[in-house]
Amino acid sequence: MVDLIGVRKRYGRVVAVDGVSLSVREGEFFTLLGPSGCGKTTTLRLVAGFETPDQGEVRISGQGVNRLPPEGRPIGMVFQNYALFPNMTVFGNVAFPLRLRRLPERVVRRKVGELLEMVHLQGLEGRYPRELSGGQQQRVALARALAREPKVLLLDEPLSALDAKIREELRGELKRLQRETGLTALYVTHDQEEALALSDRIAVMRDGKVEQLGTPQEIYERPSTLFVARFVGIGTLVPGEAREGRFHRDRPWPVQVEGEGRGFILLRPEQLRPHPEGFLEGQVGLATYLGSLLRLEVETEGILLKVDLNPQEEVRAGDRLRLALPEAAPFIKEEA
Amino acid sequence: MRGLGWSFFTLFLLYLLLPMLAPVVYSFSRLWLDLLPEGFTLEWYARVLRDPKYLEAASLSLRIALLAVAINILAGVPTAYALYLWSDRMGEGLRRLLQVLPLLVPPLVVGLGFLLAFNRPPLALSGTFWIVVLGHAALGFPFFFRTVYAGLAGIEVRLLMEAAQASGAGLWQRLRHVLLPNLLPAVISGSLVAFAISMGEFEVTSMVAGFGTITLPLLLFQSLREDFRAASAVASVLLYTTLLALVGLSLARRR
Ligand SMILES: Nc1ncnc2c1ncn2[C@@H]1O[C@H](COP(=O)(O)OP(=O)(O)OP(=O)(O)O)[C@@H](O)[C@H]1O
Ligand SMILES: [Mg+2]
Repeated sequence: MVDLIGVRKRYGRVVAVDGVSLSVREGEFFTLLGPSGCGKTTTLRLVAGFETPDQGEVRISGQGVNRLPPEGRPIGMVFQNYALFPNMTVFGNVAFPLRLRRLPERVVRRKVGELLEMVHLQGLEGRYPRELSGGQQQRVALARALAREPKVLLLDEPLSALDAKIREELRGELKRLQRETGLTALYVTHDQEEALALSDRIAVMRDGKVEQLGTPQEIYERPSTLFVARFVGIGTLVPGEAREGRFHRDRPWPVQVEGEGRGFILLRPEQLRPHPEGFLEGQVGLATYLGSLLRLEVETEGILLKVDLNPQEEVRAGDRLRLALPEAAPFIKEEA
Repeated sequence: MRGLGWSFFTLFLLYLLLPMLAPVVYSFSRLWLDLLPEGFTLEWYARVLRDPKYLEAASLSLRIALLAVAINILAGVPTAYALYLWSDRMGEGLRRLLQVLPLLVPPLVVGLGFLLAFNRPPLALSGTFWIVVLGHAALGFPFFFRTVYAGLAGIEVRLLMEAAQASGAGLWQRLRHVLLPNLLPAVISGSLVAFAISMGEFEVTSMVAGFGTITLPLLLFQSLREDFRAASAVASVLLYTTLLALVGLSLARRR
């Protein structure tokens, strides 16, 4: 549905997008994930048409759109700061794209009604944006973006200006809406949890390049680089060596790995279990109660392991603990 | 300490207001010999209204002010918008210059500049109606520009224009439905200021205007010698214009 083919964009000496190629499938929720300044927004703006690539091509539904301005592309966009028109009511904002298409007022009214119902804002038609909460404003913005009946919905950190509670609520609704409408969505965020929760596929970006592309499971369970392993989820990277399908560190560990040579295994906190005959023995340095779990930092063989336990477990800082390792773990080769 | 501050403030306010109010009081009174004036009258206003000289000057001033405002709108809004869009280092410097320079240059120099610049063909405008209009437009520009620029910054124009573009709006539609309606309060404010400046302008006008273009302030100055009473009424009228502009300004701000 959206294809980027070797797209590059630079601002002066900064290469914001450095040869990105990816394809967003029809009906897919696709996320660009990465730290600040990695080029997510620029990539999105290239798809929207606010920027033109220096090299490469952007295609939407197979059609090259490099020369089309945003108003000519089949897109809808939601911005981080809502960007509602302050001179228009909720109704006016959502009706704006429809009126631009010169639809009869009767049709406009019906469609705005449907859209506002979709985002649960019936009854607020007459309000002005300044009379709405952040969450409500972003719902209006979403309805306005959908009103254009776009082929691709582009969203640039649409939830990051909202409170945690509202953010999660709207996140769920966004997902539901995208499922129901079958719309293709290209989503930008620096919040890895959000990306995992929402996406069908994720492209993790770094310095203008795609570092890894895959489903949330693939990204979380099999990060292909240290950068992805560090950026997505919580875990401990243990340095060592892969030899004959096993991980070695002073002695062989009972952990299967794929690959050969020096590198790291990634141990997720939920994979480590206390066990009387566990392979590792260590001392609890820090125990933090987080409500739904108890997070420990266990020091063992010169490594600091993060371990998640049931919150009911009675473990305190200073306790000694044996830990069982997972049978297999992702192995990431040391970067040259 | 606070009491002292307030006393100074009040004294200063009186010092500012009394000279401004004096003509108004004078314009309504029959006699003012001692400390307080005596006898309320509208006679001086009536005299001004009956004299075609004053009416002509008032209508001339009004036309000049409206044209000066129109020029500011036509030139100032696009300039402010363009400078706002490329507000990089160069744009920023240019903006400062536009805002500050005209305030620092003495009006006499501005007047002389206008005389020299519009002295020869094809711009031989010296002494005409149009040179007064242009002069007033230039004098109002920094104030107009500043207000509109602040308005642009206040409404996040770039973002709104992009949102409109992503909604499918072409350039003309964006300007008409998004930029102009949101910028209107700022344009009105700026226009009121430019209008008030033009209505009261004396120094530059007195230098560039010819005998055919006697604006209200020029006439006021002339009649100071002959008819002090009528002059005070005219001065009061100018003050009312400014006050009206101020009221309009605060209304435009409130929207
Ligand atoms: N208009 C611009 N002019 C100059 N440099 C820019 C411009 N836009 C982006 N950049 C630079 O390009 C790089 C990528 O920026 P971009 O906004 O795409 O990052 P991002 O991943 O969206 O970051 P964030 O999470 O902070 O929004 C950054 O180094 C940024 O400074
Ligand atoms: Mg960004």
